[in-house]
Amino acid sequence: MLPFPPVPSRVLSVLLLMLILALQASATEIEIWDYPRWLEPGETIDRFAWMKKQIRAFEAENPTIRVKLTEMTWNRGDEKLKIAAMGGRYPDIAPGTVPLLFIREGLVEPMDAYLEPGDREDYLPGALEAYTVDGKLYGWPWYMGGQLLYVNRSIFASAGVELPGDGRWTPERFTEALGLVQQYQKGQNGQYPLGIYFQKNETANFPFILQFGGTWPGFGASEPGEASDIVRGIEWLRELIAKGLIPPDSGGRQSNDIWTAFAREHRIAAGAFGLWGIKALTDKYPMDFDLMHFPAPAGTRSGSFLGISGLYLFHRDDPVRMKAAAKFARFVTSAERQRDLVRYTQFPTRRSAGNIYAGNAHMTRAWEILQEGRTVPSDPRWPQIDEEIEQAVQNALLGKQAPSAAINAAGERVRALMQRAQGSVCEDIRGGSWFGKAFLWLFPLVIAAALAARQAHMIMLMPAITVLGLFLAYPLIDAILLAFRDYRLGEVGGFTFGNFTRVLEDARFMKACWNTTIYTLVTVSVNTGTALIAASLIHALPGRLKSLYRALYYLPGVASVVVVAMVWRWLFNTEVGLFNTILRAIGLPTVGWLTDPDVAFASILLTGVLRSPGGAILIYLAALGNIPKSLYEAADLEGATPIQRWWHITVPLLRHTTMFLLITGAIDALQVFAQVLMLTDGGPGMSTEVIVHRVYTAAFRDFDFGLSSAMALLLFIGILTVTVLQRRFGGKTEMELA
Amino acid sequence: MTSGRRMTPTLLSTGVLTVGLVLTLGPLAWMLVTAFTDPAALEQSPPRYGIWSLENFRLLLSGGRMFRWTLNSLVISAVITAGQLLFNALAAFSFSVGRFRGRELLFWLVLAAMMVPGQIVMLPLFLFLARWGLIDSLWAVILPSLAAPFGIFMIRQYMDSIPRQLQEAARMDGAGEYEVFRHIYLPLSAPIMATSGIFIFIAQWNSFLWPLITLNSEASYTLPVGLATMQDQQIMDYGLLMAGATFAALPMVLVFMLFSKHLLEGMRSGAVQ
Repeated sequence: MLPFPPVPSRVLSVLLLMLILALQASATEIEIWDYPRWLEPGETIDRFAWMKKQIRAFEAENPTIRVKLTEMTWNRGDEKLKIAAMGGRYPDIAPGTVPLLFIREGLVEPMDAYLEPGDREDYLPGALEAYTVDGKLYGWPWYMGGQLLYVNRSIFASAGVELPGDGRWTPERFTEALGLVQQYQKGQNGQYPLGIYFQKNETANFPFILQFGGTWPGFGASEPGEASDIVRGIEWLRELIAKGLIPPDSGGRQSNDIWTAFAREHRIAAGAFGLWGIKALTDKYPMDFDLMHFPAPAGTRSGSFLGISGLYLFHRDDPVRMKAAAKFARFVTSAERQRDLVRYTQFPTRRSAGNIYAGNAHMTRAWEILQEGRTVPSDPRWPQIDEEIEQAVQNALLGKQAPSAAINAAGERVRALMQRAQGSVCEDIRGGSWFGKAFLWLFPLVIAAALAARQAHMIMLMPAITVLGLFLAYPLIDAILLAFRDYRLGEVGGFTFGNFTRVLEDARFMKACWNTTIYTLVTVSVNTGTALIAASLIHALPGRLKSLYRALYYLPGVASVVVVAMVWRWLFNTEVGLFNTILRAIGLPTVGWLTDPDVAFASILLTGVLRSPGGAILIYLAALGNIPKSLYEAADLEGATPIQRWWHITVPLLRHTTMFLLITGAIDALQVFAQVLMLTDGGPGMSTEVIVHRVYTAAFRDFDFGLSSAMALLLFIGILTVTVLQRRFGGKTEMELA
Repeated sequence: MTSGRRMTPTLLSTGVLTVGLVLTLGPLAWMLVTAFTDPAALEQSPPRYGIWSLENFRLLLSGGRMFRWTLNSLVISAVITAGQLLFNALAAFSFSVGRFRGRELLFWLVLAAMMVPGQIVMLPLFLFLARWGLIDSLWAVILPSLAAPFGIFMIRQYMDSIPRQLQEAARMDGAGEYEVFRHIYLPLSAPIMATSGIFIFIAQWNSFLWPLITLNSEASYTLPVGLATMQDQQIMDYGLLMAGATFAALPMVLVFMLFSKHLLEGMRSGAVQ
């Protein structure tokens, strides 16, 4: 006999449901950001399917933990993670190589306490080392890859080159082989034995310049003798350029250019790419290829660059959440799951994952080559150091600077960079400035006072004033204050004029000023001129035709700059773009539209010039409509031709409108940014750098807030000057038109 | 004047104008051609054209992220357009009709604010919003754009031309300031509000730099930011990229076609005001 009446099953299930809901409510939620990975079998598009599967499996094992996945993109993903994290919006878990910047800012949690017995022994020593900073382990190593030298076997075989069986060659032997390939290719348009590229975050081709030894410029003692080995490496590459073994614009090429030329077009017979190439050359662009050591003098290591990726954890004060995140990171990077890396052509970092590439000749060779690999220096300032070095190499290869001068100058700048004091920018960001605090206390008081006056108009004004006060006036004053503060990664100091001296010493900014001026002069004069001509022609058209052309000329203006820039990028593509395809088809030499530093800026100008001046045309049309017909009648009586009438009557009468358009156009052009970011990102070298792009990179890539603000302030002064000119000379426009 | 003499210059100028159009519309036409070309044909060396397909669009839309980005763009543009129109109109009304101390000074400040380029406030604004935990949320894009000096200026110019007798008559009937705004000034300002609204919408839909800085995870991207990041690690799939560009440009072309009369006339009157 039961002491209680039997509980109906419906009540039970409701209770159970409530229990589940209660558990869910108390669940710890963690967030992981991840890059797109490989396609699981049967998937056609979702490159996050594997991670989603792991999340489901993990949640099933750990019902109190919820994992939220935020999808990243490879392009700019790393930059966006940095900006978000510096802005205080970071996930629990993020992917990537060891996050030196965040470690230094104290944002990353050491993992030593979360390791389980046997973990340490299970990792390959190199993998642990890569994530160890000052004796602490800052992440869960996941996979290991690196960059290798790929050769197109059929081209090399046809050229009569016998590839060395062990994959090793000395610089001499390598050059000889390239020479044979060159003879075979017969210098046909765009065909080269070897393709190389040097750009931000691309270490792939460094082994070529480091083959004779040497350390990075600016590191260690850096006696002149130290850098000379690197200079020798660059000289060696310059010789290859002189012999026509590598493209002459190599300094400006980008990895995807060289990849397209190698894998898809077979125009280049050898090139350095990551491990991912093995998969791509098997599936997407099937090719008979081989992996080789980078050339190195006999008895030295070939030294390709390794990349070790993993997951790391941002610090949170909640220990339960930290523990959950560590558990998930360990789960995803466990030996069992590392075996799935076979679909990613990357090597596991845990020994217990075993050899997942047994029988795969390419991966076996890759593993041998990577045994002689090396990594970039472990320093949070590496991105800036890398940029200095890449730029020096680009300039030296493009013949802009002698190799020794370029390397020594880069060395000086790197040393200056290394001598900075330490300090956390992040904390300071969150703390805010005294001005910020004062403003945020005072501003509500002002608003309250205005409301207390109980004056209807003042109250109606408040929404707009609040928005403009908080999001325009306050940041404007703060920007001016920032320009006089030493406020950058590695140094948070007080008042200084130093930012302005550093602005003047910043070669990129100087180049940017020059380019921006040229861009403004060229595009504004051309666009205003074409607008004047087009408007005059449209004005003379009969009614319907007039409206049609007016609309058609305005139409391209509604497309975003990003859209237009994407199209230009496609048109300009060195290997498969329309322009070079046409040039090739008619047998002319191709042009490195965006890769040749002498041409790249002209290409940017071209995109600026071929933007339809639709708005200017409308304004001209309005002004033309206000010109009295009687003015022309006298001229007609004197027998003036239409062109004479236009030049002597129309153009002078429109001069105020023209002035207005020139000046507003100049204000716009001075702020050119999106095209440059999308088309060249300021490169090659710094040939297409413009002011706003430099302001952006100084703030959000170098995290040098003081310098960026000083540059922005100078731009502001420039624009203000132009605006004052407008008030002075163009101010009458509106009245005159009315 | 005989019709023969008039026809020749018309033909000639139509010819010149058409050449200009080919140059400026050319890139956009090439975008359409690529977007509608079969991806396999584009992969050939050299790329082949003339084989049409919708495959690029199928690939583009199959991930679902385009819809997310479109939704974000739509929400941002719509909320900003509505909010900015309201706040701008309220402010313009106060400046036009109100008589209170500091009015001229404030209006002068608003005019001066028109000269401040976005780039200079970009960094402090980022730091400010970061402190409030708003980075990577749509609010980071919406809040700073809820009022704009140029819009206030434009609407005020228009409202200044509304006869004062109207509001005086309304006040006699006992209408308060809000009623005067709601029932007289707002309806009478409809043309400038429409033009201004379309401009704001297009500008926000296309805006790039600020969303690029503040929106950092894929789920919060707008279309332009998403497009700028939409490339695989090494292989540029241009068919897909051009389909994406088409997808982003199309709504604005539609807006333009629907409202071109408002837009073009408004732009003219805006310039003449």
